[in-house]
Amino acid sequence: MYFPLGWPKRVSLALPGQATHIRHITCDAVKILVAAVGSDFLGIWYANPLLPIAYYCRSTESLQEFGSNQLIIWKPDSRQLAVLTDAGALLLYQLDFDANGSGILMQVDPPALSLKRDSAELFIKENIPRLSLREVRCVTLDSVISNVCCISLTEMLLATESCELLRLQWSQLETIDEDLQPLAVIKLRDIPFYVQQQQQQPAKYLPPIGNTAFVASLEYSPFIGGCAAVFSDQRAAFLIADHLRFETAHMHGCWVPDVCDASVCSVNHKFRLLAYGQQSSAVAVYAIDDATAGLEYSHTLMLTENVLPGSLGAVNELKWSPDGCVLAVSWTNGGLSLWSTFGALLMSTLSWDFGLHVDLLKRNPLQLRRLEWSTEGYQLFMTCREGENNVLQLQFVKSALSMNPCMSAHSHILLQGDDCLYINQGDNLEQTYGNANCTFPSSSTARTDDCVELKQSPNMGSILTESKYWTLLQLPLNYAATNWPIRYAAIDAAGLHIAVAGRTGLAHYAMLSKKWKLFGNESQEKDFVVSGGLLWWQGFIVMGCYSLLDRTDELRCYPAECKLDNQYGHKIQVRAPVISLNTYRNQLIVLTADGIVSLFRMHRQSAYSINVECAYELDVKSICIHPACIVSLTVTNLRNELKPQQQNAEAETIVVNVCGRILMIQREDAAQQVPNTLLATCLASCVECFWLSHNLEHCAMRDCLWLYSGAHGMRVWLPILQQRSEQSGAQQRLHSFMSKRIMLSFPLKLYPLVILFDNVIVLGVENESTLYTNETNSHFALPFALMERKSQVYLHKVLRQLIKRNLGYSAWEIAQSCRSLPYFPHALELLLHEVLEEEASSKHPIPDAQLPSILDFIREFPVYLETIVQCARKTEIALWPYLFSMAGKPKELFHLCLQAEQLETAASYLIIIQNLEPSSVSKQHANMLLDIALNQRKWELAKDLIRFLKAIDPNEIDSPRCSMVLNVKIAPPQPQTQTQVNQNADVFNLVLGPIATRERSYSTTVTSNLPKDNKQQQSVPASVERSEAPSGGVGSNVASATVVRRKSTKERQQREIFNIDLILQRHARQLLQQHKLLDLGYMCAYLDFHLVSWLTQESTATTRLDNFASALQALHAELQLPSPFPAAGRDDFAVLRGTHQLTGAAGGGSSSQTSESGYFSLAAQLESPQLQPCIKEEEELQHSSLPTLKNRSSSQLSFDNFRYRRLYSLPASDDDNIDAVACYLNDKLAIKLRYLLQLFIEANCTDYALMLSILLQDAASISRIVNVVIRSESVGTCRRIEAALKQLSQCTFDNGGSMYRGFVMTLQPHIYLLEQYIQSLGEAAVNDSIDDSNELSADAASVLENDPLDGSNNNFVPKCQQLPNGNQRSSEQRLTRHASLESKSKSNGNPGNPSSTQSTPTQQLQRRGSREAPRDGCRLM
Amino acid sequence: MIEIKAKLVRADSAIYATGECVECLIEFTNKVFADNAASLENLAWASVQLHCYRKTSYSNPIADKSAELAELIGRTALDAVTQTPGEVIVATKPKILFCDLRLQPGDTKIYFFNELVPRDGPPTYRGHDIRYFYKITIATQRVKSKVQTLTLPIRVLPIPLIARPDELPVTVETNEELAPTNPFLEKREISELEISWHHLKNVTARRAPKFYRISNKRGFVGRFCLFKQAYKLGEDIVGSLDFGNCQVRCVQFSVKLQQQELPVRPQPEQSATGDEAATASLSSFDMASIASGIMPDNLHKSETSGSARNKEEPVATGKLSTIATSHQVCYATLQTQVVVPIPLHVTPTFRTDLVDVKWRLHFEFVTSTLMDFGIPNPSAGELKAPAELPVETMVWNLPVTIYAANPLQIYAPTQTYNLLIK
Repeated sequence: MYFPLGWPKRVSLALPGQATHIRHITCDAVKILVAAVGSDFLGIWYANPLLPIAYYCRSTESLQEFGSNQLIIWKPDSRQLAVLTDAGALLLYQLDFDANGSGILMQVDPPALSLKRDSAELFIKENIPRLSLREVRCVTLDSVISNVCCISLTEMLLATESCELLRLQWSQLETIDEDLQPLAVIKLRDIPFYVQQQQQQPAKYLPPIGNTAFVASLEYSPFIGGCAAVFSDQRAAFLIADHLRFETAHMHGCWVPDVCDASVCSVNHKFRLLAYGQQSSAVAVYAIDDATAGLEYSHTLMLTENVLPGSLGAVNELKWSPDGCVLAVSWTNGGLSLWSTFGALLMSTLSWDFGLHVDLLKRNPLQLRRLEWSTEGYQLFMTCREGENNVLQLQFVKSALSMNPCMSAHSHILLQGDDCLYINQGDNLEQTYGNANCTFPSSSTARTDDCVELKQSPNMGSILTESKYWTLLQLPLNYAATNWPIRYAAIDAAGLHIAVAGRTGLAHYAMLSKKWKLFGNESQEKDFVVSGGLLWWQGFIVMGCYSLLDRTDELRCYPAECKLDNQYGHKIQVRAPVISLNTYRNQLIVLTADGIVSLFRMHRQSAYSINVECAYELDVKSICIHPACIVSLTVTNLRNELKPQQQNAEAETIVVNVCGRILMIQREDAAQQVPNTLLATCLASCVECFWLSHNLEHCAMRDCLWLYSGAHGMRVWLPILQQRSEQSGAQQRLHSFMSKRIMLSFPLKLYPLVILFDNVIVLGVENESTLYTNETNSHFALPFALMERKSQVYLHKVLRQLIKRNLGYSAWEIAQSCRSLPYFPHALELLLHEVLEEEASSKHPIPDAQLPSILDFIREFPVYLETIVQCARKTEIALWPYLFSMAGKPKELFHLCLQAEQLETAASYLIIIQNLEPSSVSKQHANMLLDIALNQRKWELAKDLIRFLKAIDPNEIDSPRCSMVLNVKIAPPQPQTQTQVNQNADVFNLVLGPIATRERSYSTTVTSNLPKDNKQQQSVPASVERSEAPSGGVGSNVASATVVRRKSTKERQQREIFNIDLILQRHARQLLQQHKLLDLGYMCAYLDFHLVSWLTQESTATTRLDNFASALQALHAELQLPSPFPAAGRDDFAVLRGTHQLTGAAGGGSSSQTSESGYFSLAAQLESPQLQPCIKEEEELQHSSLPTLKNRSSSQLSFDNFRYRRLYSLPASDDDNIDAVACYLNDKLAIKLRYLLQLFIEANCTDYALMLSILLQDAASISRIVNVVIRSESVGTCRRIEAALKQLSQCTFDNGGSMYRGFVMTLQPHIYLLEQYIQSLGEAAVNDSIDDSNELSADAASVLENDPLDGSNNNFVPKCQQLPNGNQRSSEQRLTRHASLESKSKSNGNPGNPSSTQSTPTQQLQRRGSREAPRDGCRLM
Repeated sequence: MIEIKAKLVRADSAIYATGECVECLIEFTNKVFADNAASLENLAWASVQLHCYRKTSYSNPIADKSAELAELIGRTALDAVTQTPGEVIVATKPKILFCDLRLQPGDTKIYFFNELVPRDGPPTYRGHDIRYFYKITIATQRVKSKVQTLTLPIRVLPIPLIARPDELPVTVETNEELAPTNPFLEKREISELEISWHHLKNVTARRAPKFYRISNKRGFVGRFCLFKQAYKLGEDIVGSLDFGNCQVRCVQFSVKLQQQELPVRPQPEQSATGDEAATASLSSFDMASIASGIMPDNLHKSETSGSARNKEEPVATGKLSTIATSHQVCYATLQTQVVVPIPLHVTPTFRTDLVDVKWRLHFEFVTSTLMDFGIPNPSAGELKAPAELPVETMVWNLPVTIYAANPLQIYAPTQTYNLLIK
């Protein structure tokens, strides 16, 4: 889990002021010093900060005699170095520490103040030791030394080209005098080599070492007890000694069986792995078999992504990181990659984006030769193959898990760099209240100014969020300056506290206060070294450490709350260095280097004190070679068998990861307190990391052990849930042979760092790169490495494995517990998709296909239909038949969708039907869906469907696509399985002659769908077709047939469109008949339906209104407006409503009541406190229902009204009418209605136009309509309009409270006008009534244009008018008429904009007058 | 006893951009305890309001406005000024949740409150001399008792108003603009905030790199390259440093991200422009000029040598606070990078009538003319590093602009806020 960051730094390790090629870089054992060799010099550097300490240049004579420098090795105590030359000589250098005097390269500020350093970080606290370097001796042997490696503190192995291994002491090299007498000379040709070590039989010496072969690469590991070696003839071997002394007699070798082209080797100590790089660019990794001490193949690392096979070249260099968690590999043709212990690819520069100009195949910019990990693996030194200044240093961050495996229990990604931490907190799901299903009233719709009371509490929901930013935490300077680098890092479960331990001491950080806490007493900080692990437990930092002061190993706990000081800390001595620790609930498990596992119980007494006592100790030496091989361990209550557990039961099982093998140590029986190592069972091997899911609240996957095994993927050890029926019965004994747990494994695309069990998701980090520029010669021409948080849902993988094993019940339980997750449908889709891809594309017959059971499983969930179609649309069409042969016919699924009212899903099925069925079928279904969509006002969907229908190539209608029967896989394999049958009708026609004209049959089916009145029109193209199709067929000439086809295509296309139009027209008619004008408007807008042309074509019956009043009422109901003619007895309410709406609050919304009342009370208090009783009453009024209203006296009402006026300083003369219109028609609605009005006027649909004008209370447009009607000279229309207006006035005045009362009064002159006109026309026009509509349409345009002439038509002077309510208002009426005329001429000025809402002052005045009248009446009463 | 609980709908980040909608759930529960008899509870009213407060040590000419405000508000139910120290500078219209709420024992009523964060308000900022902070105040009152309030702090990030509104249509898709408007075809309205986000994305996108040539009086030190000047919160400021072919060895350097708090005073003309001038004088040229063959030597020298500090600085630095530091010992380094993280919790660049908050990168280069160890490299034998290395330091400031990030990407979980009315 190492991830590179940024560009590699280029550093110069040459002699000061020079630029030379560096051949080899090695860090010493403690990684404090770095040695680098050029061909003629050796340089010693301090590792951090990278500063030179000393150089040694070789003389030219020495170079001539012994050759140039090639390779360095350090003596483990860092006192000596040996340099191997390319001529095979060994040069010994001595490094002496100069104790006197302070460090070197102390930076001295100049006297000038302005040139002095300012910031604290610029004063380097690190003391660079003064070292002196001298050449001790040059050792040459009889044969050429080919390789060197160090095997213990004092001894080294030399490999010579005479195929010998010489074991000698470092001290021997120093003695100059006599000849070199090695401790042992191992003649490799004499030791037995086995191919596969079986039963200690030296089965074969064969194949022996070649005559000229010698050891080319050698690495020793004490935990393995031998060396990995690669011979010059490219054979790989493993050399072991029986005792740890290397002598010919006690040694034997193992040929690595399958590797015969090895180039390099490297050993992983902790996991006991040997990696051999091969010429074939692969790396073979072998493990040590404990039983036979032989080699056991583990895995192969092979880069397959983004590379051509064989383009990488041989493996150049291999290096395990210091903690054994990653392996760096480079190739001769360039490139670097990083692999986890068991073979998961973490990073590869070959998948980096180098830009367009770089061809990685021809010339990879990263041609590396040597690799060397620096301190703690935070940097990788890389030497380029050629050129000067060839050293690159790549920076890494690593997961906190690599050093501190007890951090696996948290949901936060914590990565550590050398002086900073990267934290990614929170899950992938953003927590919100309310989820996608539950939207808040005002967040979705337009913002209202109200607070809304919610009926029930919204549950905690979650939304998927994009990856969040990394929080980067820099170590405080005071701590980092002396304790670089970070060794351990830990975060607590809540993610609020972070602890960090560097070289000595520790520091911690609180996320909330954003403050670091350091030791107040610096000497206390310097006095201990954290080792073995660091963790948080209930506000305490628990760690294993070594006290430098007392020279003892300890466990320490510091409380986070108080100052970091030893006086608050708690200390427990342990016998040996702590290697690993972990907690479970209140238990702390500690592994010490003496192979003892101790279990402590922790008890928190207060925020500051803790009590820790040892429960038991357990010797685990028997289960591991060396305690250091124990990668991680934990204590848990996970058990092999499932028993009902108490909530706070003691943890009784220990899980240990030894070199990648997971061992579970259980108690022998319940009575026994201590687990027994003899009962250790191995659960899995090749495990890098494990997690335990304990008692989780949501997910059904409880008590699981999760293992990550690199290339082998993820494994989960899952308890098998029993059906409830079985659980309840006492039959458990009967089934005791049934296994209680099952190990499922599945691949993962990313390296898991965190498993969020509740969300069934793993989080990991991936290496990404971005290219900053293309400037080829700058170093930032290389990509900039980045980290990106990635996540992967694993739910479907687990489900699939369970269903495969016939554990459907478990699968169902798990799926059920995850249903609320937003990506649950997606997971099901993935499940289906994976199985489908696999089974449908498999070349072999599948004995027991999984798809049916998977489909049955998904059918359990309501998203079934959607899942199927989503999955289908993401797979190849070739796989569809297989899918739908199992899932049911798409047609049936389509109908199911319709039943379930999932229209969008049904629409998706259409595409499938289109591909699998003849076009006629899909067309038919599309029509069906279109009908439903129109009825349900799904305009967008209808629009898409029309597009779909129009896109169907009419030619395709003929080609049957009954590929459903072609399903070879399901049908028993028939011998005559046809390969490819041309199913085209043409072929049939060609061969058999036209048996049946498909065209005809098709056209009849279509006509049957059509409404009857259109059959005539339809039959015309159909008959044309009928006549043409046989003629093409008779010719039996393909060419002529296609010609005919092409001809008919156009017609058909037209027919298609015509067909769609018919549906639309039918629907429009329906809408019009039901007075759903708004829907009609939407339909026209979305579906490109030309309303005007349709209306003009449409028969008069539909565009006519028979009962205006009821139509108006219906329209009101549809627009959710208050009824235009409220029932009698509600007069007061209506009046109140009118005044009430004055206050500006739109009527209707029940929610607004609360806020209104609030305003009122506030305002009233400001105004006049003495009015309070009245206000109270009024408030009651707001809340209470109608009956109370009736009782109220109208005088008080009007009084209220006046008060409001004053309050809101509304001028009392403001026109009520306009306000009233604005009240019940909000702006948007009014605009829509005006738009429709315009359409109806254009189409000469006077009835509807009239109704809309009334609704809009637009006197101008009414007078226009009346004029149009009059100009049309059709008595019938005039009579109807007149009747309509009369009816309306009648209704209005019958129901005194109508909101149109005032408006209708203004219409009287029009009625009069019409009456006059009808009379004047007299009997002459009676005959015209039949074809009046045609005339009307013909005249329409001219009438509208000639409007200015209206004056002549309107020159009737009203004599006397008796209003139905009996009021004498003749003068005012006259005024009204003038006003209406005036406004008419105004609107004629710009005929394109009849929707102008403003009205002339006179009109307003008139309106007010008419409005005021009833109110006056009320007051008088 | 009535318990009031308030929780933000966005539970994982109580952070909002200006112009975003704060949504909050407010729960009123009549809590029943076993010991006392349950009774019907009654609340006269409750209202919710969002306030922005300012607390400053600057002398403020319009300070008496607060008194005026207090006088105005004092007589209404909710007296916001007395709730929190500081003056209210932005207040939304109070929203009434209910009047006369009756709660049976054990009853719970939940109200939903939403309010736009004022578009022109200042961001949440905690500076040396001035603080801006936002709080949602929920106030309620029982009949004949005191007004009780519950406050929820929220963090507000500034989204810059688009300076040129004529740029707006550029970001809007213009495909369907030509079609006549049909009132039935509702176009999704693109809010100004949304456009501002797009704008922000454009502004903070990576452009051609800018190179800065660093040299002091002794010679050329190195070349610094910055890929963009405007950043969002949470991003890393990435620059590269090239010490190849240097005449003066850079031994170490540190780059600090600093926040400048400049008071806006009556005389700030020169201070505001002075900084601009400093940036302008910094030589910079972009990749395009390299491609077109202009030699990199055309670079002007940057005015950052130590001597610059000797001059009386006319530029007011204001109050400085260092947020992040990147330090490297680069003795042996030829090419390296500077990565300065911008933490998510800082306040982006903004300006109000009282304060101007800016960001800059503060460089310190420690240089040495000692290119080798003082002694020429021997043909054979040992060469030891000297004990001392004379160094000189030079500083340089480079202004950068920091913008807000999407609040949803910032993890800042909130707890529920409670108030118990006995």
